[in-house]
Amino acid sequence: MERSNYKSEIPIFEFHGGIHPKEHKLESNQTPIQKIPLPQQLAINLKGQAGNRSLPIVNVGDKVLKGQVIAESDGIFSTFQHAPCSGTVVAIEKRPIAHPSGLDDLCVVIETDSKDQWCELFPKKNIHELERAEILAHICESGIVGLGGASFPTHIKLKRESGIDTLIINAAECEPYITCDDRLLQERAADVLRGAQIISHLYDDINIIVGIEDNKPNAIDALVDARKQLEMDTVKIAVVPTKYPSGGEKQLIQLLTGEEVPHGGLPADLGLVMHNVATCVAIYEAFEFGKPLVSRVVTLTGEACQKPGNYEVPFGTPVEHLMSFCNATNPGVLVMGGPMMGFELPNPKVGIVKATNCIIMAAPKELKHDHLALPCIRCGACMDACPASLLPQQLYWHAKADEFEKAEEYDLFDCIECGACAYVCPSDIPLVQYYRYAKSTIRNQKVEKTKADKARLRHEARNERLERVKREKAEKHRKAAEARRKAAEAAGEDDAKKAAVAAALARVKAKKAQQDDSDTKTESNDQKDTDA
Amino acid sequence: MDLLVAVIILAVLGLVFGAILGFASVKFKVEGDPIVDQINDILPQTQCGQCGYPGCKPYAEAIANGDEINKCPPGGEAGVKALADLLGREVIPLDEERGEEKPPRVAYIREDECIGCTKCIQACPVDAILGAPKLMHTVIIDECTGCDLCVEPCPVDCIDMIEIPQTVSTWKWQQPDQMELNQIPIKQIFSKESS
Repeated sequence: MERSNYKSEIPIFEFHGGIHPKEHKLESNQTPIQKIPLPQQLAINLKGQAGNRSLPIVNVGDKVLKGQVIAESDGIFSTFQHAPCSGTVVAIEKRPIAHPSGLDDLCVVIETDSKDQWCELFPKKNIHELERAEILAHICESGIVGLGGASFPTHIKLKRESGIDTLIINAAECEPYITCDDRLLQERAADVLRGAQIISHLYDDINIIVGIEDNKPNAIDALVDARKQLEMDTVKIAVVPTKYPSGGEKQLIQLLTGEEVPHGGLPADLGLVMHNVATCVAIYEAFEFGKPLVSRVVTLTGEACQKPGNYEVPFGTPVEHLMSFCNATNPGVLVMGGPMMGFELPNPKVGIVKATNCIIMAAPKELKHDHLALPCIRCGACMDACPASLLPQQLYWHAKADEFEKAEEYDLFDCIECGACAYVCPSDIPLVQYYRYAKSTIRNQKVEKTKADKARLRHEARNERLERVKREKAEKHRKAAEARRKAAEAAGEDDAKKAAVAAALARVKAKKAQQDDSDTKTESNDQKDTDA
Repeated sequence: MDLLVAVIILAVLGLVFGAILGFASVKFKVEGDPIVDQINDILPQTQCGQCGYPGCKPYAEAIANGDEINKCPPGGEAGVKALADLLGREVIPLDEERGEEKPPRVAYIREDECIGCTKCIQACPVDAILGAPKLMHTVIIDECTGCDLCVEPCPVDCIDMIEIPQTVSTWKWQQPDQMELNQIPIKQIFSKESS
């Protein structure tokens, strides 16, 4: 493929490993971005982003206009979702979603009308007068997520304010087949830079660097022109050599700054924040025109695709619809995302989500082996290819043997699942598959562990409570018994008192009687005396 | 004289080491039995009593005192393996008499039929059932461990044990060894030289 000879404006460093797979980009990046005829129904997945499900606010039967809010953020870890076209809500139900599991999840289904009519839009061109919180809220309400593929809610990524001094625009697009960012830059480089300006404004105008691979000469030219036109001379264009996965967040940071994002850390720890070109355009449109995110550029490609190219596709468009549009009858494999990091779609009925940058309609033998993986020969090629400087072979052994703790010790969670190790493996071992298996099992185990801990605490609390109730009851009984005994004793004492009083009285009586006796005696004695 | 010196040195050494040991035993005294806690950590905390003990902790204590490690069906084979690893014992198959390993479940009360007898509330080991005498009861799903203990006491048989359906967030990737080759999502096979 043609390489740009534009000289990078900042020094470029290197990252460990990486591979040079066949690029397959020319198939799709030669034609302008086109629109696709609307399908009859759109199924918008409410979990169409990383994080939580959005909360639906429409009812079945409601008429909606394009851009109208159909689901709100849960306020914690999700964004808003909007109707991608005008029409009627015909169902809010579980449908198969774009996920490797092939499971169903909640979708809002909209029957489209032919008008494709926008709702009233509220642009916010005066960003210089807006508070930071207002800008973030508008980004959230416009449903913007990272469009590079991870679909992390953008307003959350932008939340951290302090210590950020550089914005990196990720235009590397290193994965084979995918050309949506390339085309977007060629056609709308100025909008990308305007969006970047808005992000930069959030941090009081920080430096902007655009990182782009040298296999996109037209996009680089378009960027240079747009920068001149907008007089944004401070924007630096960093041209990096084409190598997969230079578009990985950590890898691009290493290429542009020579620094590594620390283990368990974030780019923000290095004072950096990174956004994809498509995200920048979405932010620009949200503020300039008030348009929420209702569609994205998707690369349709693969040998089975008769009209490869980039298309503006509304969210929720069934992949089936795209296939019939491209006359892709009976593709061997249907992949969402790229050939390295994407996943095979279990069902062509699923709708496009915000993370869908590419659909590969591959011919039967285009992407797949027809032979089994061979045993590991411990050649170490995977270690040389790993861009995260991990030991893929060790991770493989531990994941295979379900020794998850050891896999974690070897920094399994630093693996970016780029697939470089599996690509170079001479035995064709599906290494990334093992890491995905280990990672998802560990995550599930952690969830189970917290649940078990909670159950243990509740059980202990219950035992304690039962014990306490028992003690309290016993105590109550003891007290009652004591009270009774006291009462009885008190009653007994009364008797004793009475008896004592009676005895005393008796004694007094007796004494009196005795005295009377003696009195008479003395009297008689006296008498005797006198007698005598 | 030599003899005397040797005796004195040994005696002094004995006293010094004795003092150190005595000090250490006071200073580093371990409260409770740490192995019991470690075993209890592995047990699933269902508190179902299928092992024959009234809860996970008593079973953990019994294991520490030499009881078999295969009496916990909710913990399953994985639990037996983890216990065997911890205690250096043989991995043995689950004791079938204690029941079989089942997928995770939760109790569900058919609320129309509930007569409000509170018997299930008293049976629940983790206080996951909410209700009052003569009022309807219901299960707090997030707290329920699926232990089955509430099913038996219910006089009107209105409690079902329902399997927890798999969702996108609980789904996990399969072990590739157990997958069909063509189930493995992507195998990069395009020609390996750069264009």
